[in-house]
Amino acid sequence: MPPKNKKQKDDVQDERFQAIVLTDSFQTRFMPLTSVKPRCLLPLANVPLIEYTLEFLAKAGVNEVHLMCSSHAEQIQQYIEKSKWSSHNSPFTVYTIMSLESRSVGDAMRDLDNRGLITGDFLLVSGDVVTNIDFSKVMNFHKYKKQQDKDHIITMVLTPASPLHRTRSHVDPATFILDKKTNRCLFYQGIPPVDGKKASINVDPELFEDVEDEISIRNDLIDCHVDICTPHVPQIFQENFDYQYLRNDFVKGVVTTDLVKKTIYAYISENSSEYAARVESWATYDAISQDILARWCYPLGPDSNFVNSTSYRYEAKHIYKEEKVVLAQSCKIGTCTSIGANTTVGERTTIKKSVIGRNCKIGNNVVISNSYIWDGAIIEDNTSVNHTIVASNAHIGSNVVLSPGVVIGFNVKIGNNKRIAHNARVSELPIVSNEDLFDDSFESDSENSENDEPSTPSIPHIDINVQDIDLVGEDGVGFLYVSDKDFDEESESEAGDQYSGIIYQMKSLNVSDDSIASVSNRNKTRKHSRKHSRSRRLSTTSVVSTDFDGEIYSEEEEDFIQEAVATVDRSLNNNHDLDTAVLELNTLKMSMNASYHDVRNATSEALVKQVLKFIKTQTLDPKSAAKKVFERWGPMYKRQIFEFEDGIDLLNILQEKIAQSDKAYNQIILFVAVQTLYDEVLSEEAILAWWNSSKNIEDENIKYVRGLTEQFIKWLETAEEESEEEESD
Amino acid sequence: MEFHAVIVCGSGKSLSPFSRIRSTGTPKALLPIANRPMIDYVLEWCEKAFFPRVTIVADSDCQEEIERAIGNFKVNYAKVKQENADESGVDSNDGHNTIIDVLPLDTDNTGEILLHLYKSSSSLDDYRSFVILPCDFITNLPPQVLIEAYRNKEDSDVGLLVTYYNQLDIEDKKSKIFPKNYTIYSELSDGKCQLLDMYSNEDIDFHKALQIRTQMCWRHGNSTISTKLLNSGIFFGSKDAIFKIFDENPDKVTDSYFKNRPITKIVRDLGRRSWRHSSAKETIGCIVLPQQATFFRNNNLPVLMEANRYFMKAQAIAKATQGSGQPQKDKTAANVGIDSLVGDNTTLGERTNVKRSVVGSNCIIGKRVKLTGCLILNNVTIDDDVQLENCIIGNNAIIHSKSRLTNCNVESTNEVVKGTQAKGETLLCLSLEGLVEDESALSEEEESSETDESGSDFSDDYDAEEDEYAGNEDGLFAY
Repeated sequence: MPPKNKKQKDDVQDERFQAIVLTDSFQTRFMPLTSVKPRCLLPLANVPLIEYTLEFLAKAGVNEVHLMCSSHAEQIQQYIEKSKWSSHNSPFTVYTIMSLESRSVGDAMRDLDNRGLITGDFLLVSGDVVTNIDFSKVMNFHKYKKQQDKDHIITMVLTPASPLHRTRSHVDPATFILDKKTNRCLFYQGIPPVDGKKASINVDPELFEDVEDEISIRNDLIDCHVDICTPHVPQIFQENFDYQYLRNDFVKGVVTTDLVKKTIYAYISENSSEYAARVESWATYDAISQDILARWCYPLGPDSNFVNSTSYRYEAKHIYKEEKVVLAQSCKIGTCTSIGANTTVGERTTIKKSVIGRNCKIGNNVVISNSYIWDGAIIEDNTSVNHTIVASNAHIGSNVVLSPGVVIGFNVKIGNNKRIAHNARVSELPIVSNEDLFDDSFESDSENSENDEPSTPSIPHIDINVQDIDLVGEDGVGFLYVSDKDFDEESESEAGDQYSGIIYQMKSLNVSDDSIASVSNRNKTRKHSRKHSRSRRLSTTSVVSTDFDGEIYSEEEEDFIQEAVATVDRSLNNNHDLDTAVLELNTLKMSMNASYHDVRNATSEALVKQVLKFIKTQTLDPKSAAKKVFERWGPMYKRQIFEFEDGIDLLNILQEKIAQSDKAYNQIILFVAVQTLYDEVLSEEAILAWWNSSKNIEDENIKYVRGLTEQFIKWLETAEEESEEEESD
Repeated sequence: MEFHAVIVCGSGKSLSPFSRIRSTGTPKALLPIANRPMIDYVLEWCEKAFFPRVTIVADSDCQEEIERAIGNFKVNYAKVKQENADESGVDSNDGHNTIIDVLPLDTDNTGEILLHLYKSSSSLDDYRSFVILPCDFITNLPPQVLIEAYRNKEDSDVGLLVTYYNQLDIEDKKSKIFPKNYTIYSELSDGKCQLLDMYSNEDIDFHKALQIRTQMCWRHGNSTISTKLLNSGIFFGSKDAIFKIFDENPDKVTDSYFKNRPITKIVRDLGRRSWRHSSAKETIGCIVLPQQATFFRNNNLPVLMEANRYFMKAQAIAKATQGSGQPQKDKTAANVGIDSLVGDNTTLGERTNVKRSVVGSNCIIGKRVKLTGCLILNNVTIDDDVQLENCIIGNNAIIHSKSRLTNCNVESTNEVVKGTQAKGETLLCLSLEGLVEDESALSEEEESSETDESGSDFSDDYDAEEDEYAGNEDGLFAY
C-alpha cells in the first residue's frame, strides 16, 4: 500500500538527520604532508582537523555521520574507532565508508547514491571545516525555502567577509550571483585570483529573467562547503556522471541548465560573531589557526578541550598551555601562542603567534614566530623559525634559519647551520611519482577539470624530487619536494605581486597546488595554439565573430565544441526531432557558457561530417547527401542565427569546413548547402554579403570550393535585379 | 557660487512625429504638458533650487523659440511669485536672480556639452559644481534633496548620478518604453551607493551575455545589479575633480571621446575607472530617488501622454475636493470634464464632450465631437462628429468630420480626410522630406529607446572599449 509506505518514510526522515563528511579534499595542496597523513587528521592548533567538523556536527544535532574516506582511509578509520565519537555517549553514530575508488567529490556522491544510504535531507560537509554557526537557523532557512520552492535542493552556508579576508580562499576564489531578495543562487563562477589576469564573468541574461528586481554579485563570501542537500543531489550527480566538483560543476550546472529545473539557495550568516571557514590551503591553515588562538571562533578554542585528551588552560594575552610544559625562566612567550604538554622551551627563546605541539624540545635562543610546530618536533639552539610549518618528529639542527613559507615534513632532519629558502618544502622520503599507475584517471580528470583540484589527494604525480645534501646537511634526512607549479610560479607571482601587501603574508606559502599547475600549463599551451588558429581564421574571413571571451576559461570552449559535435551527431544518428536536438544543444551552450559562434561551428562540423559519411559509405551521391542532411537539419540554424552577421559567420564556417573535404565533390556540397539554406535560414542579403566579403581570399581550397556556388550567387543577383526593376516599374 | 545648471534639450527621437525630428515638429523642450512647455517644469524646479546660473543647451535652430519660451516663463513665474508674496505678505524680492541663458550647440551626443563645459571652464569661473539636467523631467521632489545628497557624498565621489524607478502604470511590452538597463552599483555601509558600471540592453544582446569584470568583484565584493533602475539624466558633478581627471588623461579624453558618447556613458566610464586600476580612484555616487516622490521623464510618447494625464488627475482631485463642480449648463453646450483642460481661444461646438484630455489654445472643435484621453496641441481644427480616443494631434492639424481615431498620432499640419477610421497608426504628412526622414526616424526609434542618450554608435564604441580592455597587459588596466 503506497500511502503507508510513504508515511513510514516520513517517519524515518523525522527520526534521523544524516551528515556526510567528505574526509577527502581530492586536492594536493598540503603535499608533501598529505602523503603521510590525510588532510583531515593534520593538527590545527594541536587538534586534528576532523575534530572541529565533528564537533560542529554534534552541535548541529546530527544523528548519523557517514565519513566518506578514500585516501588513507585506514588511518581515518583507526582514528575514529579510538576517538570519543565511537563511544557510548557520542551524540551520533559514526560510520566510515570506504570509498576507495573515488577521485573527486562527484565520485564520492555517486558512490553514496549507489549505496543508498540517504534517507532524507542531509548535511554535506568536508572534513576540514571550522565553524561555530548556529545551525538551527540554517535548518529553518532550508525548511522555509523548501516550503516556498519545491525545486529547492541545496542550501549553501556562506559567511560574509571582505574579498581579501585572510580566511577566504585565495586559491580558488569564487563569485556567487544571487537574487537579492530571495538569495537564490543564479550563477556561480570561480574567478582568477585578485592579482591574476583580468577576466569577466559572463552571465546569460536569460538567467535573470525571473528575478523580480535586483541581483547581487558577491565576491565577499567565505564558502566553507557546508550544505544541506536533499536526496536529489546524489541522484543528479549520478545522472550527470561528468560532474566532478560540488561547486564548479554541480552548482553551476544546476543553476544554468533549464533541464534539471532545480534551485539552490544561499544562507548568508548575518551574525557577525559566527565563524565559518575551511582549511583548504596553507594560507587558510595559518589564518584559521590564528583565528582560533585569538578566540574568533569561540567557543571553539584550545581551552575548550573538546578532545578528551587535551588539558589546555587559558592565560592572559591568548596564551594557552597544557600541563607539564617546561619553560626556561628567561624565555619569552608572546601573545596568541599555544603549547602542548611535556614540551620544553630553552633559555632566552622567544615564541609568539605560534602553536607548539606536545613533547617538543625547543632549544636556547630560538626565535619562533607565526609558526606551527607539531608534536615531537625538536628545534635546537639559535635557530630561527618564521612563518613555517614543522611537522611531527622533525628535527631542526642548531643555527638553522627557516625562511617564511617553508614546510618541514614528518621525520625530516635538518642539519646544523642550514638556511632553508623561501617556500621550500621538505619531505622525509622522496615522493614516488605514480604517474603511470594512475595515468588513466588523471587523463580523464585533467580533461574535465576547468580550473582546479583534480583528484588524488595523497598521491602526487608530477613531482620532481631532488635529493639534496646541500639542503638538509650531511647528517640530515629529507628531500626537497618540488611541484611543477613552483617553476612558473616565480615569474607569475612576481608579475602580479602588487596585491601582496594586502594579502596576508602566508600567501606566499600557499599557491602551489601542483595539480592545478599541470592542468593550467597544458591549457596555456593549448590556448595559445587555439587562439592562433582562431585569429588566422578571423583574418581570412573578416567576420565580426563573438570572440570577446578569449580571456575567460577558454578550455571550456574547446570542450564545448567536442561535446556539441557529439550531441548533434547523436541527434542525427538517432533521428531525434529537431526541437530536441536544438534544446540539447542549447542546454550544453548554457552550461558551458559557449557563444553562438561555437554552436554554429559545432553544428556545421557535425552536419558536414554526416554528409561526408553518406558519401563515403556510398549510400548517397554527393548532391542528394547534402540535400538530405541540410534539408532535414538545416533548420537547426534558425535558432542559432539572430542577426545579419550571424548568417555571414555561418557561411564562413561552412565554407571553411567544406573546403577541407575531398575536392571531387566539395563544390557540390557547398552549392547545395547554400541553396538549401537560402530563404528559410539565410536571407539573400546575408548570402551576398558573405560572398562579397570573402571574394578575395587567397586560399586555394576555398577558391576552389566556391566554384559551383558562383552560379547560384549569379542567379541570386539577377533575381534581385529583376525584382528591383519590377519595383521601380 | 555652487552650482551651474545645464539643461540639455535633446532632439526627442522617441517623440517623433511631434518633435523636431520632423520639420513640422516642435522642439522637444517646448512640447506641452498640461498646456505648458515641458521645459517650464524644469526651469521652475531650477528656481526652487536657487541655482545661480542656468544654461540651456539646444540646437541652434531651436534657439529663438526656446528663448521666447524662457521669456514667457520668466514673466509668468514673476507673476506667480508676486501672487504668492501678496498672499503671504512676504516681500517677493528674495534677492535671488537666476541668470538663464541659451547656448546653441549642434551635436548628436550630449558628451560634447561636457566638453564645452570643460573647455570653457577657467579659474575665473566661480561655479564649483555643475548639474546636468534633461529638459524632459517632471518631479515633485524638492531639488534640495538632491543637493543635500550631493553635498553629503563620499569624499572619493566626484559626481552623483540620479536614478529612479518607474512609477507610471504603463504596460511596457519588451521594455520598449522604459529601457532595460543593467546598472551595477555597490552599497556602502551608510546606505549610500556608488555606481560601478552600466550596460544597456543592446550591449547585452550584442554579447549575448552580461560580462561582469572580476576586477570589479575584487574591488567591490558585494555589488548589486538592477534591471529596473532608470537613468534620470540628472548628474551632479564637481568641476574641479572631474576636469582634473580629464586633465590627467589627455590620451583617452580627446575631443572625439566626447563627441561620440552621451554624458551617461562618460559617467559610466568614470564609474568603471574607479575600480579598474590597481589603486582605488575617484568614484561616482549614485542615488535612487525615493519612491514617495513622483518622477518621470517625458522622453517618449506613452510617457508624454501619461504625464498629461497625471496633471489632469491631480487637477480633477483638486477640483473635486474644492467642490467647485461645474455649474449646471445648457444641455446642448459642450461638456468639459474636471479631468480635462482646454486652452485659451479654443472654441467647442455643441454637444461636444471632452474627457481626460488636454486641448491646446486656438483650436476650433466642431459639434458632437468626443475626445477621450487625448492630447490636442495648438491651432487644431476638428470637424463635427469626430471621435478621438487616446490620440495625440499635432499643431495645426485638421481632422475632417466623422473620423474615428483610436490610439493614433497625427503629425502637425496633417489633414485627416473625412470619415477616416484608424487604430494605432501614426498619420504622417505626405511629403518627400517625410519619406526620407521617416525611415531614419523609425529605425532610430527601434534601436534607441532611450531617446537622446544612446547614440547608434553604441556597439562600435563597445568594441573599441573591449579591445582596449584586452590590450592592457601591464598587470592592471591602464586607463
